[in-house]
Amino acid sequence: MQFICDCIYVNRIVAQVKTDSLTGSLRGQVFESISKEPIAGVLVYLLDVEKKANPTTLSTTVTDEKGRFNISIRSIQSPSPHQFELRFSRIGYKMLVMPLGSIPETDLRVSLQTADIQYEEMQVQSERILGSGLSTQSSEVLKLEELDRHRGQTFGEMISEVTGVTILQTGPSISKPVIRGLHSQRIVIMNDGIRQEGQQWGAEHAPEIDPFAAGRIEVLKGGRSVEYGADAIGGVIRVEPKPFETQHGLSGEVRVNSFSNNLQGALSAEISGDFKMFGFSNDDLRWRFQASIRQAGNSETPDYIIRNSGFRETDVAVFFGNIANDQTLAWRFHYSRFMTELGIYRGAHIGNLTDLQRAIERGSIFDSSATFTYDIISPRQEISHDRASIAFSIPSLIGNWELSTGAQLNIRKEFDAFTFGGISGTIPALKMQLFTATSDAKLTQLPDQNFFGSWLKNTIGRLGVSTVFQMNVRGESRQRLIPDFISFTIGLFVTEEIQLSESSTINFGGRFDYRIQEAAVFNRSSRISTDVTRDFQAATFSLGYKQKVWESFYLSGNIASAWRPPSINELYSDGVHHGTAIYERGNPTLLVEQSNSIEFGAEIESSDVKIEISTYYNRFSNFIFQEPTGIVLTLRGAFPATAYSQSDAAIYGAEFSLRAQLNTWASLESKVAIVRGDNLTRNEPLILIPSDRASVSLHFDLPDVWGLSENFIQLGIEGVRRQNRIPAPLISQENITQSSLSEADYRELMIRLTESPAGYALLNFEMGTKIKFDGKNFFTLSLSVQNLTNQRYREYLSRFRYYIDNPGRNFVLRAQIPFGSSS
Amino acid sequence: MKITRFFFSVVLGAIVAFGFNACKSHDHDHEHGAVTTLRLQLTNSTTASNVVSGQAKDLDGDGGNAPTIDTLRLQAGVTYNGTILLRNDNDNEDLTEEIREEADSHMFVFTSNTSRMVVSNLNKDSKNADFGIDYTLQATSGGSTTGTLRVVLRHYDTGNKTEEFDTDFDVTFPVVVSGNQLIVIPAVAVH
Repeated sequence: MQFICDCIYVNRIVAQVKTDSLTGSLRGQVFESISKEPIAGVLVYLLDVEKKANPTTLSTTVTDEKGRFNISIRSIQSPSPHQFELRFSRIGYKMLVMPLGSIPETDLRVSLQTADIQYEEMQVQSERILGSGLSTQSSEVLKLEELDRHRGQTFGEMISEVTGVTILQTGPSISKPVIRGLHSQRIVIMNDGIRQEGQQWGAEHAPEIDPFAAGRIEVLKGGRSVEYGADAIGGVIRVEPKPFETQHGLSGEVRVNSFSNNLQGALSAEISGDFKMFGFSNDDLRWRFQASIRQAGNSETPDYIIRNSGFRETDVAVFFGNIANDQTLAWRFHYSRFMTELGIYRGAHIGNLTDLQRAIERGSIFDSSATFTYDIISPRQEISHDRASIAFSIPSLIGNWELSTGAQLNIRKEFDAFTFGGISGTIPALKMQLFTATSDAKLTQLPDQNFFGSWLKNTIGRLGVSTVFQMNVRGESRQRLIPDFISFTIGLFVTEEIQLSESSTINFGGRFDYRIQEAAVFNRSSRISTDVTRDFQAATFSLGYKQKVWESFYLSGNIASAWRPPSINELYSDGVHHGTAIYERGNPTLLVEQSNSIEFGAEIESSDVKIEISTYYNRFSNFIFQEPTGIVLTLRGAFPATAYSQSDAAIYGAEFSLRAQLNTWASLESKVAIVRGDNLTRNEPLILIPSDRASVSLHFDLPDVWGLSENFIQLGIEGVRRQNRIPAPLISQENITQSSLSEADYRELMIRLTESPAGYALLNFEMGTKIKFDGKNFFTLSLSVQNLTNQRYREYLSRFRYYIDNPGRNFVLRAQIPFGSSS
Repeated sequence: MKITRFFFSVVLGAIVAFGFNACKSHDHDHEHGAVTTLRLQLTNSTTASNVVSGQAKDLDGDGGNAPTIDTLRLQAGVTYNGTILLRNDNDNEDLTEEIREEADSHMFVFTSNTSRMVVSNLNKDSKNADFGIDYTLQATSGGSTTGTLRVVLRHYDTGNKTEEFDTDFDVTFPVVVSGNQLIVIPAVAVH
């Protein structure tokens, strides 16, 4: 858990030196901040950070046994305080950043803090340079600036910037992240250190996270059960809030977005400060309040308006905590509330099999008379998600303890279009209330703190226990889909990371999890609920190795296992799913789904080029999927039925990303992601695996003009191939006989349901600038155009692909206005 | 579920602590407002005492046991005044009035696989468009036959009955029509 900010901790350096030119070398010595022992092996590098997104390394060196370093500086002209900086980093310590302007001409004495709570942040930044780090599996970080460029979009859309991440859409308002072909209950989202628990099993249930609140998002791809436990079979998304400001006084920021396509307006404001203003003497206490609202009306495709596709979202968050130093306890309290009401396109709400056939045959808008409106009608969802958490980081002699506990309540109401009489308008078809309490304790042992003494000198060890208690209670609703349940999960894990040499690191870990679940399973025929208790357990492991092959070229390999207990809907759901007009039946005998994966990565990073390649093969046993079982006859007509089943499966693929600085003002970025999924028992492709996609974008930095700085324009193209690997349609003779359609119609319908839409290419454009006002703050302004050519297209991972096109061209205007003392 | 109830009380405490609306009391084995029964009631237009009815009933809702659907037994040559009743038999509620109030966005559509059943004279909604909860069913004269009568309740939420719709009910009743020819008394052979 990242707890406090990236403090710049410069002890004993007070002199400010201004020089016109610096040549020669800078000498100094690096010490541990408490023991004052010199630290060997610290990487010292000088960076030109004029291009913030793509800093250039000018020179590097490493400290010797006495912590000494001597770094050469070649003719740096007029060092402005922000253009050059010196960074000190070593595994196990917080990275230290010093603007060159603050460095005295005399010898430097530098103190590095042990990394305790800052560990992961440091990890991400330094691992690429040191060739070490726990992350021998692929991961990608979206930093604040990148997130700011996508504010106002849904949380899922923001993350789809990451190579290998796509989104599963249910119209313009619902998007779920898909990591390497896996989504929903196969992904864990850690929100400020606590597992985010909504009703994530539903494909049309988007994560309940305010897209404005995230300060940093990290996507860990591939199975991560050792660190994150059950369900992290496809990957983990770590969402972290912005750290507290170190400065005193009030400060904050206002962000305003406006979207042309659905006339969405979004406003977010945050304000933070200390407690001195309230008369407290404590220097370290901080608070922050954040609120955002988003409201969107109906979206528009190039040809028509999508009826009932708007949404309204209101989110608030409050933080209290302190800014701790390395010897004191750090804590943070976080409360947030997420509320949304969103419309579901009416034409995608299907009454029965014949309606489905008509909707697919129509292949176009449900009613051409739809006009733009902000009104939301049924079918719709109303969701609230409250969460409160408190976390502590406590330094001790044997390591740093991190303790956290949190409670969440997710209330989801789904109103369907089956309305007559007063009752159905006010009572939702489904109301599910999910309460989750999580507690985690983790001990991180830095080198010299481990139980084995000095012979494991370069080892970082972690030991942890985590528990999740969960309870689901059906609210007053007209239907039932999943049973009430309670569950308790406990996991114990240990990981070790050993730096074998300056250029190689090995890491390994193991974990054991146990879950017990009691569900009140309702038998529709006898109308009696029976308590069914099941327990699930799994041991998981991981082993990784990373090697620096030569300067700026790294290779890594990893073997990991992960697991997932069958989710509540897979076990017990029993009802009609209106989005697809399918009667879904759970299978209470399902076993734990398990995966073993192997991954190889290569990385080249020089001052101008960064290339990352990763390939993976993820082999599943007991992969859970749906298969057809027959027809269920109801008063509403016939529905094809599916049941959950298990088989062996494999998901494999490759990702490539390239970032190249072409010259001082132009850079190029390219990403390619390929995923394949096979049901090995059936010997056919898995359904809904993302199609191959690639993107290229060119970014041009423009010179400052008229008081505008950091000006840029960017043009990008994204190409998506048709998904040709699709499974055979779900046809059984029994279905044909019982269906209300003719055999030919039934076959045709099932084929259409499996089919994938055509490939497409989208052009996107963006331009932005910063305007200085009041002497120190910058007003950031950007305009982007999504789908510049107003292309008609449908996406295979859109659940509305049978019925309507994706939205067309969208102009997005974003403004960001900081205020106060610290911006 | 003793454990559940215990934890539920704990959670309720937490909900109150969170400061938002605590959930209302729960009736766990109940599906609110569900229509369990659709009944066709056909009254002989000339002999009011002659009432034929048949119902499609699904007490356990979607899934579970399949709906039970009665066979309609009609007399050839008879014109029936028909109406449709909707009920929730689990709660003993008559929901017919609710659907009548929503006449403007609903329409009953009747289709038959034989020409011996003709449904006409659908009643109108407030905009003078067909609603069809009241109708006339004519079993035309002829010999005995069997067939089906499919009753679909369409739901037009745009309120325009020429627009797209989806289906609230879709029930197919088996029908037996008894022939209306005079009962022929077989001639008795005289030796």
